Amino acid sequence: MNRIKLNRWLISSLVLIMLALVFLPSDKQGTQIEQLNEVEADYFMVAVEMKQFDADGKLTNQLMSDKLEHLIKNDVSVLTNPLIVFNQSSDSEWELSSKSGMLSEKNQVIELEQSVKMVNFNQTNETPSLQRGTTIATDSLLINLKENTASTKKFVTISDSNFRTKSKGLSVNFDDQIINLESNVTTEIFQ
Amino acid sequence: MKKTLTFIFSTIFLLVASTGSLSIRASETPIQLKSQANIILKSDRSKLDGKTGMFEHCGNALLTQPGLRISADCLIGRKNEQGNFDFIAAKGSPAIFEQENLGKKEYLKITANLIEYKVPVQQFIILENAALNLASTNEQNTQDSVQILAHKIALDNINTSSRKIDAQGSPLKMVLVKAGNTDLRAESKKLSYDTGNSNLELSEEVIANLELGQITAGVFNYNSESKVSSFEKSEQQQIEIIQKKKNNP
Repeated sequence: MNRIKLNRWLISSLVLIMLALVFLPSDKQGTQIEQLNEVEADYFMVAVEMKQFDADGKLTNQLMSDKLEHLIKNDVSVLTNPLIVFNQSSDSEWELSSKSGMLSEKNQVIELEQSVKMVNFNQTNETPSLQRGTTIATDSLLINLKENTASTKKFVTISDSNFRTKSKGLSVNFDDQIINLESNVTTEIFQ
Repeated sequence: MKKTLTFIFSTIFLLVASTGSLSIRASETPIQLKSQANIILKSDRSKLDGKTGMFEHCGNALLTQPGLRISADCLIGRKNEQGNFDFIAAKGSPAIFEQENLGKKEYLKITANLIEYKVPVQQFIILENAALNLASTNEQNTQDSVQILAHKIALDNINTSSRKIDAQGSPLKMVLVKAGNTDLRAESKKLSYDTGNSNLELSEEVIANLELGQITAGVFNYNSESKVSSFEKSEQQQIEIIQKKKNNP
């Protein structure tokens, strides 16, 4: 009888330990840091997730990347498949993604390259949940984290379900949601 | 037997139910026909405001739709609650609206400092130094036209065979040309003209110059097809007719 009780106790303990291993949060979850032998990079991380909070503790910006490789020479980090979420606590959120990117923590800038996409999600009184709005596509984009702005000199396409705009050169202010298109602007309004 | 009957009834029920649901779905989602062609805007630069849904296309701004063209310094548009761009304003010195119908040999030109375009209803409000000129070549290969100068012109352009034009200004000037000859030259404060039935109404301090002479009245009605005119006095305006002296050959 005691043996059965002991077995039950052991099995229960084992299950609890396994569940705890699976579900308990870890500080280093999804992040691996390894030293590199290569001269250019001093470390790299995979499955990176960086979060930025405001003074009230609200999550504002978030950066996720398949890989982050820090280069000693320029003190910049090369990003692979980065995804940035801007103004996460506001009623107008932006998701920025690309195939590659470069983060300079010193200058507070991120340069996105190749298949750059910015998607705006808006919240209104009529639609309390965030609704997918404008999408901006370009080849290259420079994001200033200090000023909450982004700009490019390359060709851009802006679209939603009602219009498509093409232009060369763009600047965006994420706070006031103003997009300036700098030259050769063509818009098609769908009827 | 009972099972067979149950099967038959349930099959009939399912058929009826599915037909009913199809008809409901069909009535809930009617086919939406696109009545208008897409609008193309071109400019040197542009500004989009995500908060207000407004856009500004400035610098050599040009709006085109098939047969229609508006050139301006700036084209400003806004989205309605459904997210569609239903209003576009053209600002310029002047902004120029042109619509050409090659089949009907018809050309409409409007110039003004501000042209407001209500897209779904094809209505135009033309403000400040507004000038409208609708010219067409008739079957006799001579030209008919109507020219209006006013402070404000409202043009209902949804049916180009029967345009409704309302204008006001102080003064408001208009000229009707038929078969290449001036049919009517007039001044007033208000105008209403239907290009479909050629009915013209001028009101408030009207001075109309016809072939027969000059008529001053409170209200003046004229049809350029039938050449029938009628006029009324108003509280401020008595009727005066000054007949032209016939020049004997």
